[in-house]
Amino acid sequence: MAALLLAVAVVLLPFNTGSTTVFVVLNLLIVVAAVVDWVLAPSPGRVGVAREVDAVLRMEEGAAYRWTLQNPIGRRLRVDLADAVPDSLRIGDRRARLDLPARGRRFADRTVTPARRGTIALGAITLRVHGPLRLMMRQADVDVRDTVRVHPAFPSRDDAELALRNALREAEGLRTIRLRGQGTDFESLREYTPDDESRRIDWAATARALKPIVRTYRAERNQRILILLDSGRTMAGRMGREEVADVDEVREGVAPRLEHAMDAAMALTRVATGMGDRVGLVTFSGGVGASVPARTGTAQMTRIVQTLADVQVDLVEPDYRAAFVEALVRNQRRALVVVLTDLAAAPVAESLAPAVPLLSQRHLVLVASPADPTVRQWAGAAPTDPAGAYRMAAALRSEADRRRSARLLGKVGAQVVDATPDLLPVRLIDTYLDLKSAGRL
Amino acid sequence: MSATGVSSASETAGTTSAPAGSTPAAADAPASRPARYRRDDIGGQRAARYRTWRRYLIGAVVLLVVIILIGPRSQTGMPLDPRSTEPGGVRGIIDVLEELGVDARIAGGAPRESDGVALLIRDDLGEQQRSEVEEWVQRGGRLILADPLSELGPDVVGQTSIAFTEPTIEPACDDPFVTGVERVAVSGALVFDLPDGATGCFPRNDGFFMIRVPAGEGERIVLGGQATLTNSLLGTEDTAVLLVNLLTPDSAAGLHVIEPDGEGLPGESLGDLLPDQVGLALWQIPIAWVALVWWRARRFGRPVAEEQPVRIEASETTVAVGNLLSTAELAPEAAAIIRARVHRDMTRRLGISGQADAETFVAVVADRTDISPQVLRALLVDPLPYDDAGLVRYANLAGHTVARITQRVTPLGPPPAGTPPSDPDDPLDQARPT
Repeated sequence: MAALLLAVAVVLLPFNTGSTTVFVVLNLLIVVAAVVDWVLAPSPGRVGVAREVDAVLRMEEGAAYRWTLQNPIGRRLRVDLADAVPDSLRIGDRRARLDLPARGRRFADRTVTPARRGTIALGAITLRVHGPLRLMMRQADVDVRDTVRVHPAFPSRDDAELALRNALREAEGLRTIRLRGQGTDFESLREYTPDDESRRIDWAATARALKPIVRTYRAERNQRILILLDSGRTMAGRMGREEVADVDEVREGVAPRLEHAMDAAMALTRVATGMGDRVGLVTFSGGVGASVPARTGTAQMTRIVQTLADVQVDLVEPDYRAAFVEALVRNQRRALVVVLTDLAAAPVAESLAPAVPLLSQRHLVLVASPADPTVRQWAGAAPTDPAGAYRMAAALRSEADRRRSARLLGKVGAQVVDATPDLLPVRLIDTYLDLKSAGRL
Repeated sequence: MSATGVSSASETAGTTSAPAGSTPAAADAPASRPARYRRDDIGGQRAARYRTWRRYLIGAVVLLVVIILIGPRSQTGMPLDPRSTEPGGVRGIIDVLEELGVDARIAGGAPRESDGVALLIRDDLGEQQRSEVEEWVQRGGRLILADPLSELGPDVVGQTSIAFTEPTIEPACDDPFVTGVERVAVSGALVFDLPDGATGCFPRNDGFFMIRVPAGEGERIVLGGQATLTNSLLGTEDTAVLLVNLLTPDSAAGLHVIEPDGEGLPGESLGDLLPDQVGLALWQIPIAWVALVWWRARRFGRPVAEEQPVRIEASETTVAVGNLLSTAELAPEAAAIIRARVHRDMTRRLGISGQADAETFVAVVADRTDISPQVLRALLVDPLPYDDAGLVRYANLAGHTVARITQRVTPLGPPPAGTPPSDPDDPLDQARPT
C-alpha cells in the first residue's frame, strides 16, 4: 500500500509547484503514516493460530484441513496466513486471508488430497498482520508443529469388504449352495431346508428331533498367511489401474507398481483377518525391511497398514532368498506365503524361481503381480502406424515373457496370480479362498 | 481423531464465536481439484514466480532506459557532425574541399572577414551568434544554410518525396552553382516557397529545394535538407558537384563551418528539457520501485522441500523394445510375434489343437467364425510382411481378428445370421464374403 501511495505521488507531483520541499514532505508523510501503521499492527505472535487436520490420512482421499485464527485485540484485524504444507499434500491454496472481528475467531477451510505416503511434518505457519491503515504488515513465523501420517491408498476396499461378507455368509452356512469357504470345522445343527445337500443331514439328530436336521460347518480359523512385499527396483514403474481405450488419455489411479501391490496386500489382509486367519507381513528389497508378526483381528489390519505407509521403493535388485529365509524363520507352521512382486523375466528366472523351493517344501507359495494395463492395451490394439505395430509386437513379447515366468514358477511349486491392478486384489482373494476351501492351507 | 496444533504464543480468550462459514475470502478458496489438474498447480506456482521475477526485471530495464534517456549524451559520432566519418556525418565533403585547396575551418562564433563561405548545418545558434552571422552575410558573405527549419530560411511549402518514394531531383535552372549538376540525391528534404527577389532551383511539388536569397551585399543559399551533405549520399549522382560549387569560395577566402556556441541549445540531455516537477516525479519512480521490491521481496510462507519420487513408466521397457525393433527394421520378426499371438488366441478360444496343419486350422476357424479363409490365410499361412507398411496392415488385421474372436465367439460358433458389423472400419467386415 505504501508503494502504491508513492506511485500515486508520481502522478501528483507534476501538478504541484515542483519544489523539492513538496517532494520531501510528501514522502515523509507517507513514511510517517507507514511507521504509525506498523506500530499499531499487533505482533503476529499475539495472534492465536491453530491447524486442524486428521492425524491419519489416506492417499488420494480428500480430508478436511482447517486454520483457526484468534484476534487478540479489541478492533478488527486483517491477517494473511501461509502454511508450510508440502506439495504432496495437494492443498490447492496454502494461503488464506481472514478478517477477524474484535477479539473474535475465524477459520478457513481447505481440502488436502495426499499424493504420497509416509509421515509428514507440518511446520510453521507464517502470519502477516495488516495495520489499521492497510499501509504496512508485520510478518512472523508462528511455530505450529503437527505430524500427519498418510496411509496407502486402498481402492479395492469395497471389493474386499464384499468378498469378506460373502465368504462369511458362505462359511456360516446361510447360503446352502456349495460355495468356497465352506470349511471343515463342525459348527452347529439346524433344520433342513430344500436347498441343503442331503449328505449334510445328521441322521442321529434327525431321529431325535423327528424332523430333518443338517450339520453346518465353518471355515477353519487361525491359518497363517504371510505376505512378502517386494519394494525393489522393478516395483517402481508407474501404471494405471485399468486398461484405457487410448494410450494417450489420462489414466486413473496412476501409481508405482508397489502401490498396487500394497492395495492387494491390504485387501488380502482384510479378508483373511476377517476370516479369522493370522496374517503377517515382511517387506524386502536388497534385504529384509519391515516385518509384522502374523496375528489375527482387526488391529492387525491397522498394524500392517501403518507398516506399509513407510515402505518406499528401493532401486536395488530384490533379494528373494533373504526374504524367504526370514519367512522360514518366522513361520515354523505351514502357511500361505504370498509374494507380491513383478514377473519380469530376468529376476524371476535368476533369483525368484531358484529361491521358491526354499519355501514350497513347507509352505504354500503364491506369487502375485500387478500387470501393466497399458501394455495389455497395446498388445490387443489394432495399430495404424509403424510405431504402433512395433509396440504391439513388443507388448506381446512382454506378455509372453510374463506367461513364461508364470510357467517357470509353477514348475518350482508356486501358484501365480497375474492381473491388472484393478483385478489383482479380487483374484488374490479368490485364490486365497479357493485354497482355503480346498483345505490346502 | 484429529491432531490440533496450537500456537506457542499466548492465545487471547476470544468470546466471539465464529459464524457457520468462513469469511468470503476463505469460502471462495478452491477445494481439492481433480487429479489430472494437480500437477498443473505446481506448474502454476512456478509460472507465478516467473511472472513476479519478470515484473522486477521489466522494472529494472525501464529504470535503466529512463536513466539512459535522462543522462548526458555522448558527443562523438553524432549525425550531421562535421567531424564525423559515420554515414550520417558530414566529414566527407569537407575532406573533398580541402583536397581541392579550400581552407575549411570548423569553429563556433561568426565567420571571419577572410571567410568567403559559411556553412550552417543545424541552426542551434543563439541570438547573438545568429545576429553576428547575419551581419557577416550583409557585408558580402555567402551563407549555405542546410537547416530547412532555420529562422533564416524561407517558408516551407512541401517536401521532395513523391508518395512514399524519394527520387533524385534535377536543377531545372541556369544558376552557375548547378553547372555540371544533372541530379542530386535528397532524403526527407523539404521545398520552399520562392520569396520576392529570390531564385530557386530543383523544383518539386510546387516549391524549390534550393533557394538563393540576396541579403545586403551577400546572399543566403538555403537547402531543403541536411541529408544531402551527409557522407552516405555524397557519392550519389552529382551531389558532391553541387556541394563543391556551393561551398567553394570565389577567391582565396576560406570556408567556415559554423558550430553553435551552445546558447541556443535547449540542453544537453532529455532531463534538462523536463520541468523540475517532472524531474522530481521521475525520482519518485525509483523510490516507489524500491519500496515495492522491499515489500515483495520477503517470502510469504516457508518453502517446503520434499524428496521427489522416481517417475518412470512401467511400460517404458516395452516402448524401448518396440523402438529397437523399428530401428533394426525387424518387421518380419515383429510380425512373427503377432502371428504367434493370433494362433495362440485361436487355439485357446476356439478349442482347436495347435498341432493341426495350417489349412485344416484355417478351415476350422473359418467354420466357427465369420472370418473369411482369405483373411485367416493372410494371418496364419502367407509369408510374413517384410516392410513397415506391410507390418502395419498385418498388425491391424491381427488386432481386429483377435478382437472379433474375443467378442463374438462366446460360446463357440459363428455370429448369428444378420449380425451387423461391429465397426465399419473393420477390415474383417470388408473381407466378409457376401
